[in-house]
Amino acid sequence: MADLHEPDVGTAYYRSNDPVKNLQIKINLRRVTSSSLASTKPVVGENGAGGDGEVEMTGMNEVAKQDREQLVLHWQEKVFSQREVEMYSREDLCYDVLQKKYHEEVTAILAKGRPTNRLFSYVDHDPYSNQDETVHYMTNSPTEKPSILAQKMASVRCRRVGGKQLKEKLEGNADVCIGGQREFGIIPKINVVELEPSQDLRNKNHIEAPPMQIMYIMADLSPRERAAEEEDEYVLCCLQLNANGVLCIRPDFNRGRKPYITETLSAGREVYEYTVENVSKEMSRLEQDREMKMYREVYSRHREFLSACVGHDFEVPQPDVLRLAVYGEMVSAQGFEMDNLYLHFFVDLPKNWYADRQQQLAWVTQTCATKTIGRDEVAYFSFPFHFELYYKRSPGSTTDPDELPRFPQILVEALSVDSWHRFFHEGYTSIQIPGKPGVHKSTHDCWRPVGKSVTSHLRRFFIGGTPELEDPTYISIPSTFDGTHLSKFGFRTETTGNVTANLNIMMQSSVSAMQANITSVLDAFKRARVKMMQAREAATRELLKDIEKRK
Amino acid sequence: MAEVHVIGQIVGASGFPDHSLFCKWGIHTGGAWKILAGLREGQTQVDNPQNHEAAAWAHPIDIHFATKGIQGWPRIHFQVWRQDQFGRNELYGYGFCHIPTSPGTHEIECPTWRPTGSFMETVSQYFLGGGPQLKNPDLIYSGADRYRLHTMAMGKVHLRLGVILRNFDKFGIEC
Repeated sequence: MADLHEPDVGTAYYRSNDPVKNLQIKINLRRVTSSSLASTKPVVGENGAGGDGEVEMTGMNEVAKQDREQLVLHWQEKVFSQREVEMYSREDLCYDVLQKKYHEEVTAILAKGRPTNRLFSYVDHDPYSNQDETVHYMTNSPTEKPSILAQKMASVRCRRVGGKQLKEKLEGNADVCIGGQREFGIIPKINVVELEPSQDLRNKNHIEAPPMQIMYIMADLSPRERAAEEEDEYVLCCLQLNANGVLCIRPDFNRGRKPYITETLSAGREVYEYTVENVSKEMSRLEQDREMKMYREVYSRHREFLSACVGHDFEVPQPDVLRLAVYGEMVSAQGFEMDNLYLHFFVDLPKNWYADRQQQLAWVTQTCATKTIGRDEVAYFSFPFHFELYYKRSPGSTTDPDELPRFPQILVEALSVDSWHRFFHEGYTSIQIPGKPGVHKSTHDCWRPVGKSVTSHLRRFFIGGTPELEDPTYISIPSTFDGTHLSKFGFRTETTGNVTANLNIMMQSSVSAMQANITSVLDAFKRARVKMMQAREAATRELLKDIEKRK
Repeated sequence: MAEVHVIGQIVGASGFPDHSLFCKWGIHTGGAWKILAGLREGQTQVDNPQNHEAAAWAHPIDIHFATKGIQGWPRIHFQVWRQDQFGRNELYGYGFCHIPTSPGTHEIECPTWRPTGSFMETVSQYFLGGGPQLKNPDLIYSGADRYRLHTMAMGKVHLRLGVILRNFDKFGIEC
């Protein structure tokens, strides 16, 4: 719980895409004298103590009043310290453009009168900021050297935010398209691969360091009596702005907590406390509303455009009819004896299932020569097929209305034809279409009828020709079967390979459409009711506030 | 008024007899389907793995359909080609598969085959490359004429697709 008032000296990160020139920071600096501190050990000697106390107090109060300072700063606003004013006022020491500019500003300041401010700032192009980045050691080991990566990052970060970098990125090196700024599907005309990348390109690609700007808010805490020196400058607040719109500020804004404390390291050991506040001009309510409205309009227009493209109608089957759509592929066949396999398969419709007249329900794949994978001979078909069936219970049917429908089956024959036109039946199997919608990938084992004697084996080997099924539906329940006990006793078969198939099942019916509609209507009603309750609460709150105000 | 998003990638290929492969892919739909965003077809880069067996393409597929009916569900077809060190392109396989109809992530292995010619053609193919190609790849979608083809099995193309469906339950479709 102490956290609520204790200041937090960690770094805070703020993200914003708004222009940074709106940022304004206010710093309040105040010297804490020993008389205003409630409980510290008495400072021996320097500040006086004991009997002179009271006289000293008034004197110190005046001094204390003088040692309170406040400054409001914009981003990258340069405020000179007393030491800098001294330094730049001498024209003979100013060499480059920056120093000359400072000299002009300083002369203008001096014309108005000698400054007495303690608070000042270092901006991005001051030598203090550059020095800090490159010589930033992580540990206190005396032999630590910045690694190659750290040096490269420092050199890359010295670049400016926005400006040339950003423009280059937007116009595009025509080859590399970054982050979807160019249209899809354009084949670049130049080489995508850069064989001899320049140092610049390497830095840009290898080092993830967006250019950034730095600003320091400093305080010159030298005692009033003597001139300011560099050792007396203490960093109060460090701000870094990334090109991505991330602002790091250390320490964070006070937000009403206790002020931060900084101590001088000089003999006086004086204690100063300061607060950092955000006084940026906020976007007015009106502008915020306008921005919100604009975003909403853009999105709703896009949505309308999409739905206009799509249309609102959808094909729904007749009431009382279940539509079954199957999109499948025959993937492969493996483990068969012969080479050059092909599959011949068709859909077997039970009672009450109908199909369109033009609907194709039988397919033949291509002939595929096998290849060896492991110990198997595999043939790949990759044969897509699709069909749509309708289930409608006829009104005069004798079946129990609560009985579940029997789903159709796919009956598969695997055959092989070789170059001598020998024709072999390799196997039969059936694939039951599952009653659950979704993706089903399954492997089905096949069997082949064998004859009774050795002669049929010999015939099969030399000239081809095997016993075949006369009625393909014998694979599952024969269509001629009508009784209660199915017996296939006496039918001799041999196991052969297996067939892999992929099925995507979809089912559609108007009944479930209606159900879905009803649930969606109920949902919409619930949502509207919640909104109404919230609006009513807000209105009563407003009303109460008004009543209080009028009181 | 129903929408389908297909977001995924062509991961790579395996099982082909040689390396240095690239893949041309395309998505084919029925008449009631409309593409709202995304590319319908593309071509991957040539991948030549040194130490691995499988070629890795990691080619993105990101496409958004709108549809008025479930007929003509989208299908994806592949043509795997091999580019040898002389820059010649040789067909290495055709593959076809349906985009899955149920929402979620699916790992799909699509096997491929390529047409074979006569024995002499196979011999010359072994030495010189080349080989017969399909005159009209689109015909193969219907499957009606496939029985005339004589092919041989090649490798597999691996896909990882995520399917997101919208408004299908409003029209009573269970998938």
